[in-house]
Amino acid sequence: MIGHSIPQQARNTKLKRGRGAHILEDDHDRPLCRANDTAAALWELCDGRTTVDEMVAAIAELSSLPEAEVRDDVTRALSELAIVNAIEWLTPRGDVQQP
Amino acid sequence: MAQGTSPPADLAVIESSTAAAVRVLVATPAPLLRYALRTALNCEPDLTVVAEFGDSETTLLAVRRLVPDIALVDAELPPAGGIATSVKIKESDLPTRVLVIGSHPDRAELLAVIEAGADGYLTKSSDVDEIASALRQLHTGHACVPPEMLNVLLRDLIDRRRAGGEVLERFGRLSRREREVLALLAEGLDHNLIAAKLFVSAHTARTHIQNLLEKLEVHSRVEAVGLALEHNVISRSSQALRQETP
Repeated sequence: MIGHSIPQQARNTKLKRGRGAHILEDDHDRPLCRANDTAAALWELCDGRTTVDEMVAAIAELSSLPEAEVRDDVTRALSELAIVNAIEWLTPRGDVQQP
Repeated sequence: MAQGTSPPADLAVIESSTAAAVRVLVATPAPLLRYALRTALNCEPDLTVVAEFGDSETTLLAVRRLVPDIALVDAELPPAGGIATSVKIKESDLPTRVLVIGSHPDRAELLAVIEAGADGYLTKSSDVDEIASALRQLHTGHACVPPEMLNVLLRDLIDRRRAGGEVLERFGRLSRREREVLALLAEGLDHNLIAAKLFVSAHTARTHIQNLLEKLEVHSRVEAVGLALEHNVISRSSQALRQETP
């Protein structure tokens, strides 16, 4: 699903921050999943314009970790966020991809 | 102040009794905060506050003399400010790492702190555990930012890369001749000298300059050269020019 797709926060999802662990909730305040600091930051970057490549490059630069390693982690985290419907994937044309 | 000069006698230097502990220098103008940080951090077996100060000048002097592992610097440290103080500490080539503590989460302040070369940023809303944890993290060579501000840094990096990419794309529009002209502009040549160097008329040189200004979307030669230097394009152009010239 990732390929050239662009992640976007699913409509009406929100992040409730806690100390060290955060919760993503739907519009009825039902928890979708718990997120660590990095996953929460990643979810916040999902604006429908920022590509996975851009996220990977920025995290790799900030953490001084190899891009390949960061890409695996980012891909896994985004896949998990998509599974719980906290994000959706857009095609490069801006259409929402159906799961 | 000269490097190596002894600090004045009224400096609050508290030499550590725990040799292996991370040595922290606290710099904040708030006496109560200094007291609270010293008391709390000295309760941690692996941390020790070696000195505390309320102004930037004495702090810089003491950092040079004591070379603490970490300087915990208040963003509002008078008179220079915490960010300028951080720059000075980092410029001194000492191994001291710098953790800036701001009043509240402030995007611009965080970015200024990182730009200053500091190693971490926290706010005064952090509890003792968070500050202690940040100090340990810094001591092991890691950077530290409040988790809720991680996305600010990442967004800034992404925006900078995008801006850099757009500028490089503009340079990509230049013809080989225009790149040559840009490299000569960077060497300080005017259109007459460029014309002579490239064996073209002054009118042609001026036209090349005008075209490259339009393609780079800048208004002056100085701006074009500045943009090229900022994005390391001049050196590449000059090198290409040298390689292409028999």
